[in-house]
Amino acid sequence: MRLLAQSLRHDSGPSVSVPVGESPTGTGGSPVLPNQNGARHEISRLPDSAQSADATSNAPTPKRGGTLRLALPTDVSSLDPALAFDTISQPFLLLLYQGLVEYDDGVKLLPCLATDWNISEDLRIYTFHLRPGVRFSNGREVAASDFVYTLERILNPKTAAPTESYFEGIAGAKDFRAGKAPNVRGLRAPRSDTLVIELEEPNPPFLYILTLPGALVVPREEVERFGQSFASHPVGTGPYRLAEWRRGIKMRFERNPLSSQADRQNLDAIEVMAGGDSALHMMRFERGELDIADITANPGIPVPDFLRIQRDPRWHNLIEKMQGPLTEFLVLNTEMAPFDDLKVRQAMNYAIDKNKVVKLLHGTATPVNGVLPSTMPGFNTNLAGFRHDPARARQLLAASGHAGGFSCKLWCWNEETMIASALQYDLAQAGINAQLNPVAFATLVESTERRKTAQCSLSGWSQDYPDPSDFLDTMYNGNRITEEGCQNGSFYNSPRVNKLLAEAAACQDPEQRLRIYQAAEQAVVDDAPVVPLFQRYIYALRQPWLRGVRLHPVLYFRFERMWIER
Amino acid sequence: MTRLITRFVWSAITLLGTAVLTFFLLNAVPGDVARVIAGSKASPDVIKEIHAKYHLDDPWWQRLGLYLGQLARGDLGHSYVTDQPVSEAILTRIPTTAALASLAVVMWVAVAVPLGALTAKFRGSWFDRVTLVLATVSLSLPAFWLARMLQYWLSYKLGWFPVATFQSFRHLLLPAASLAILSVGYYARLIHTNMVEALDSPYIRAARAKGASETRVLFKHALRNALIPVITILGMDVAGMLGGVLFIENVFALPGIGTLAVQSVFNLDPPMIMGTVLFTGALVVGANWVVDLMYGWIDPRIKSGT
Repeated sequence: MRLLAQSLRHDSGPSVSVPVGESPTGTGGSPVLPNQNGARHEISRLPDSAQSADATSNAPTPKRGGTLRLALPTDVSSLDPALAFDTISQPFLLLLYQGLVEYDDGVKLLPCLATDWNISEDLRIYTFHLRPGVRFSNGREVAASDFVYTLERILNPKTAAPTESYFEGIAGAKDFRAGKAPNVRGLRAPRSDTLVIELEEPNPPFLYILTLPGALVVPREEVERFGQSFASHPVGTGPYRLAEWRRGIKMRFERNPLSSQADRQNLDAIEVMAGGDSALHMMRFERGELDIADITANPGIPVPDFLRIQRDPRWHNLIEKMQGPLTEFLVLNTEMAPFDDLKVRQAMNYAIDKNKVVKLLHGTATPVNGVLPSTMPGFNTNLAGFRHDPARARQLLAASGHAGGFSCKLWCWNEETMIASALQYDLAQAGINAQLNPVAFATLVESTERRKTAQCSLSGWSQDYPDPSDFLDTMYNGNRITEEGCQNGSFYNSPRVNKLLAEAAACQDPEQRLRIYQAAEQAVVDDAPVVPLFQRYIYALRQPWLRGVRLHPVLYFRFERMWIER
Repeated sequence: MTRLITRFVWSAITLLGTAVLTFFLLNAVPGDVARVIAGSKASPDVIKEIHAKYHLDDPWWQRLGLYLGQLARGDLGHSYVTDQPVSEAILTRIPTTAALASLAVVMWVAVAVPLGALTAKFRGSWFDRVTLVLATVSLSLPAFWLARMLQYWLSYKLGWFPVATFQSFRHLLLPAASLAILSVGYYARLIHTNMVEALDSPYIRAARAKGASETRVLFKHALRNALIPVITILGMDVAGMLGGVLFIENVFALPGIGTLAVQSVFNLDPPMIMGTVLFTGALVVGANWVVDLMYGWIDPRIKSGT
């Protein structure tokens, strides 16, 4: 998903009970987690100096009681899983709701409301068996028909669910959306404890898609009773329930007495105050008014405070760190001159000094050669990228008929002009006059996704689920180009890449599939529709008494696993 | 009576003008609200649904008509972002803003009135001169800078006050003090000038001649007359004070009207922006009414003149 603080988005899914303080492969080091496809994928862990006290905690037994105090710059937009789709609301949705499957400490999927599942040989039919005796917080037992209702609600155009497009591959979804069928053919509940989901075509990451907020189960009677205000009266199967929500001011979650997961209910309550910027939250945190400094995870410690906090003996052992599942880049619109010329795009790549940008960010990021983050299965450590070489950039410009350089408009979010200014300086060294066009977030999104509007723009992408298709298919598939609302912001259309992406989507061998994606990524990088810049680290700065804080590579925060020890 | 009716009509026109102007300004803002609501990954179909739901594709005059019709029924609409009724959002935030503003007024009155009166009494003394310098400094301070400095030093560094939010009376002390400091210099000087004039008036000499005590002369006879122009300015100053409230609330993350206004701008939430603008507009118009009515009570000459 498009990466900017307001939309900083990644995958969602309920959580699992794993003893906190122990990584799946033991403590410390760099755990290597197998993912669902059998590929191995390294989760970056913090450097030893920043290793969390949790890893060496001598009190591994969580304590019950206490209130977790958090702050957000603005309130969450919704607590209805059909409507909320952003990093800020996600950890709170997971307090309230659960889905069929969930992530472990890494990106392996575990059963949640489903006990197990079978996938047909042609990889199109998924049969889930539900865990018996699970109740919604209104007391009613969950049945397979609730999942049918939940997914049909997402697909119903009236819901206007932002996650709708992920579920369009379910058989009959298109007819249902067009009003040609009263129900979705591919969603069936043959028994109250059995759910069948049939897809039109095989879709290897489909189980990951079932961790998205849209697939978190909701009870029909409550949605129909409250209508649009269901968001304020959420009912799910999660370990907590919403006790109070004063919009834009304060949310308070308390234990759901009907939840059977006592190990995820250590905290008496979770209180979230809305308002204030990251500098204010930092001050409040340092005065002990908050338990985690910044939960927007962008990057978790305000960059201006970063060096001070890292050197402060009071805090440096309390920093959790992981490589963010995201990359940031400069998008070049290949349909607009002069970026329709490969040499110009390559010149842009040679002109920019990524190491300098990373230095400006106080090392809270690492430079990248490609578009996939290092946390992604299939991440290619041998990918050939561009190094900083202004002389080569000038040569390429001369060869493309721009010996005297050219001017272009660089669109960026008006809250993040620092990086754009650094790029502007580098480009000037190669003779390219980039004029900054800082605009409001909504304007940036709207303009950069409209055809032939923004020449080049600063952007980013955060994974929705750990599968390369989420980056490559979304942003570089020429068949996905639309007039507006287009995620292929480079409007890049390469028959070769399109073919590779189609091959990967149809490929049933997980290893081979990742290899095809690697080839596709290399082809994209060679064609240079973007200048890959950097991958941020994500941090969590916590109070010494707060335990169980472990950043998750997809979900970031899982408050229901934290506890207070004092 | 005619005067009251004229006033009422003009107030209504002012508010209508505010509504129409805000509507056009918000229409001129580029960017698709539907994208903000649904997120950047929403499909074009979803965007279409949202456009239909909020009439975003209708011509502007239809939308304006729809909005004004709604207003006429006393309905400020629903937030696009949270779907909360705008009036409800404003109502839940009034107590915080009212508490902040009232405490600030109490604070500056408690300081500015005696300061103004005493500097008039001891005019030309070092006390008067130092006060003048401090008043000028307080007048020149930008609200957000002062608030942040007080917060940084007194709350963050020294820990005397909570850093932010509104959970108890203690949480309000520093924000209210910041707001009061911004006004105290101005009003202290205003009262000083009026007091100097009042103290030179014949009725003060008469009071003294009758043997009234100096305190009584100062605070009963002179001050009451010196306060009349102050109340006029205070009424007109409500708008300026709301500007200060906006900054202070945001610096201290107080859940009042000011933070609601700023949040709705950041969220690009037109109904909420229009709601807060109209509410503050109504507050300014209302304050001017109150001042009008108070004149008569404070200075009967004005009443008899109508």
